[in-house]
Amino acid sequence: MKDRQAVVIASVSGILFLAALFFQPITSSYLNVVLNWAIVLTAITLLVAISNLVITHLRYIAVGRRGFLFSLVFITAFAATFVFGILRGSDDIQYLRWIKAIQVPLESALLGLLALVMMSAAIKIFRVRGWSILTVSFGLSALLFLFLNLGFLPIAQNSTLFVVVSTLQRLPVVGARGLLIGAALGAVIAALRVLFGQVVENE
Amino acid sequence: MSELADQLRTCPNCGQQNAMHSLKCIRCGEVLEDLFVFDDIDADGQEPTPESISGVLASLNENDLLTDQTETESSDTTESQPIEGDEEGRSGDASQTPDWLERVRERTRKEDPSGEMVKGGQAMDKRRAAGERSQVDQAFDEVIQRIREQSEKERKKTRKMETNLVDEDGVPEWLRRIRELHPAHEQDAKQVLTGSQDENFDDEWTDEELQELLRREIGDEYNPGEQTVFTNLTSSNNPEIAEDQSEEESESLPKYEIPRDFHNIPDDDFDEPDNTKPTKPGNPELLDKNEDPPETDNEGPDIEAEPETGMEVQNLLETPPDFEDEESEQPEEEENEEKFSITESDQIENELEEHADELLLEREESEQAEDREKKSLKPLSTEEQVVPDLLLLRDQRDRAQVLTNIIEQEGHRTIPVLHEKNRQSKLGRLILALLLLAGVIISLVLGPGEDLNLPLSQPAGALQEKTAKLQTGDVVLVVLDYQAATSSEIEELAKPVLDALSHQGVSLRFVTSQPVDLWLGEELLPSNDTGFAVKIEFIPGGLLGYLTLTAGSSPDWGMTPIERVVSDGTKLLDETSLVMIISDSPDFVRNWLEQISPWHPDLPTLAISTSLSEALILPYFESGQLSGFLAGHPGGEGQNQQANQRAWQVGMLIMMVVLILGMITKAEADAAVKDEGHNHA
Repeated sequence: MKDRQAVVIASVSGILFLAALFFQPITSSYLNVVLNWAIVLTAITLLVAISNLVITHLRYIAVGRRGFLFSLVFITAFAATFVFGILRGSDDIQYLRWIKAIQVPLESALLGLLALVMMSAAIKIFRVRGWSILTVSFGLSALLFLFLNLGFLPIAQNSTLFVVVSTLQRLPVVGARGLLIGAALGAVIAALRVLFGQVVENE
Repeated sequence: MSELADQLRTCPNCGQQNAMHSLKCIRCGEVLEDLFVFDDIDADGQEPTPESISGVLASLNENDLLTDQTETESSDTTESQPIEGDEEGRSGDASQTPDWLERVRERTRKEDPSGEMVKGGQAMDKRRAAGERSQVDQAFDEVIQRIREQSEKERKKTRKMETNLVDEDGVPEWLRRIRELHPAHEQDAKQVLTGSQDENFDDEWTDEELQELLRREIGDEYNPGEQTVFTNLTSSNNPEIAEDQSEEESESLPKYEIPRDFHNIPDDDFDEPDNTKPTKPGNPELLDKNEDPPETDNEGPDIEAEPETGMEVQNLLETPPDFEDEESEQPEEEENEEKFSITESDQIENELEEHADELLLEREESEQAEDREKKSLKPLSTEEQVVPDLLLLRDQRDRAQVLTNIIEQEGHRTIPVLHEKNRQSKLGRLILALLLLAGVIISLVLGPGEDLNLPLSQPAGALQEKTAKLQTGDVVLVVLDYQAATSSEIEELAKPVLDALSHQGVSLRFVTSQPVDLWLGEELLPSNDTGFAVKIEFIPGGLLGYLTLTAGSSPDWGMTPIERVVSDGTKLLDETSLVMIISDSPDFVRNWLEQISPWHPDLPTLAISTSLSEALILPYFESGQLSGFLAGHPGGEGQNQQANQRAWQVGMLIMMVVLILGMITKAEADAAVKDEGHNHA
């Protein structure tokens, strides 16, 4: 019965929201209020998530779990950011530059590792998947677009070459459209499943 | 029986009184052979001749006890009762007539006073031909022969060794004889052995080891006094067997006293092989032709490596040791062999066959015992076949093999791990990382490359056209939504565009729903020399916050909390001339175009994103939902030259090389697999 109550509430809220979107501008004020509720609830859930994260890592430190040093680093960074943000305010230039100086190198390094993993995957894809239409087409297209993006071709001086390269560079649009259509259909189906409560019943 | 139990026998060796049924003296162990001395049979077991049997029968017929009765009634009745009155007939004393004979006589008088009983027996005897007597004699001979064989076996078991096995060089007597029989084989063996090995060989073949070897060859029936030539030959030709013996086993075995000057090989066995003898049923030639010998059935490697042993067996079969031994011990009986009848020669042939079979069976049993010992010493493995000790069905043997394999694989991993980490992959990944880092660092050290001089792309041209149409006083809403990792790429594209707008006098309003953009967007803020106060506003709730400010309206009771945070509240887009989305996420761009833009269809939207998002944003540009965008290397003046251009090119080249290497390694692996397949084929 409790599960059904949640499903009923979610379904009714979704239907009302869709109605508010369709019946504009009559329902615009109602839509504003509902969206404010959703944003406040989202902020509260974010606070709950942050609290849960902090408590979990504090527990790891107290127990002495393997890798608790990372938890210690996290708690220290979180406490410093929180305390300085409260004291100096989120608009303080020095405070923002300080955080930026830490965050940008870290995330850039992560992106570099992503590039490395992709290189390793490029080697393994043929070894693991073998020779197939998918892998061969992937390898050839990757080589082609990597070469085109190098900028070594004099496409500015040669109009014919420019047309050819432009045509080749538009080929990814085909795959992109397929991805977008698939994502849209998936989103619609997921929303309908949530509205009709099929997710809970299946679980 | 009571009389027998009361009787005692005196040992001829020590004088000890022993029971009549004792086989050995209880004091000195001397064999009391007199037990097996029968009437009409010599103590040495020599078979009586037919003439002697006939004489015995005749003596029985001439017995006085029998003749007293038969003389009064019939003179022929003596022929029908000689065997029954055998013992009594030998006494020759009428006063010692047994009771049973008296009872027979009385019965004969009462039941057949007229002598019909005797007459009937006489008539039957007459009907029986003289040939029947020979059958009786033959049956009697068989009984005697059986008894003689049994006594001979018993005597062989209890025989003591009377001579020493080892000469002055430490070589056993039987081994010297074998070496004499095989001089060539012995020379070859000596040539193979080196000096040290020869010494080791002499050291290893001690008397105890030889005794143990004999015991192992014979099995449980081992008796030091029963050493046969066959077992000696087998052990001499199998030095591996002696090597397998452990010292503990040799020490734990009982040590037998070997009398001096003893050998168990008859002197005439191998000195002069008698080729003149007729082929006997036990001849190995006939065995090889007519039936499979046991050693060939086993097909064991040890057996195949012992051809000399098989030859010795043949020699043994041709000259059975038992009979020859018997002849050597009792040469005086050779004179009586000429008197044997044809029937007795057939019996000897049968005995030869039996002895040949016994020798083969003994050899097979000894080899099987040897195999069992080797198996017990060797650990089980998957490669060796399961040789059954017993007769096993094929299904049972397969199950045993499966069980052996399971035991062998116990503790080992049989299921392959899906993601097994190996050091080779880590090393390859490290090399790739070092290669990539080296290329990027070198390119950064060398500095930016030359101008790419790329033509302006169509979306970039559309963006440039839209921004050029803006006039002074127009408000451009700049929506920031990117992360620190892509900030360098995004800022390199957005900075020139925003600076150009500022120079045009366009009012820029920066908003973001990402807290990180509060400090990342600082790089995009135009300089304050234009006189406009620029700040980044935070809109809580992400996409919902944008939707609230664009689609909603203030209720009658006042402003909502989100409206209070953002200046102008729900009129965020009302005064805006253009929306520029700066995001590294194509999803955010798509959501904006699908959720926010429809509420203001006349408001143009531009986008600046990474090259990774270019393909996903391009469809919205082609559909007209997006007026223009910049991504990757848009080209054109002011967009071609970038600080990390050379590093970008180096990274692209390394990626291409790695991809080609992956193809090459896969092709090599396939070629190797094909080669292995051909090799296996």
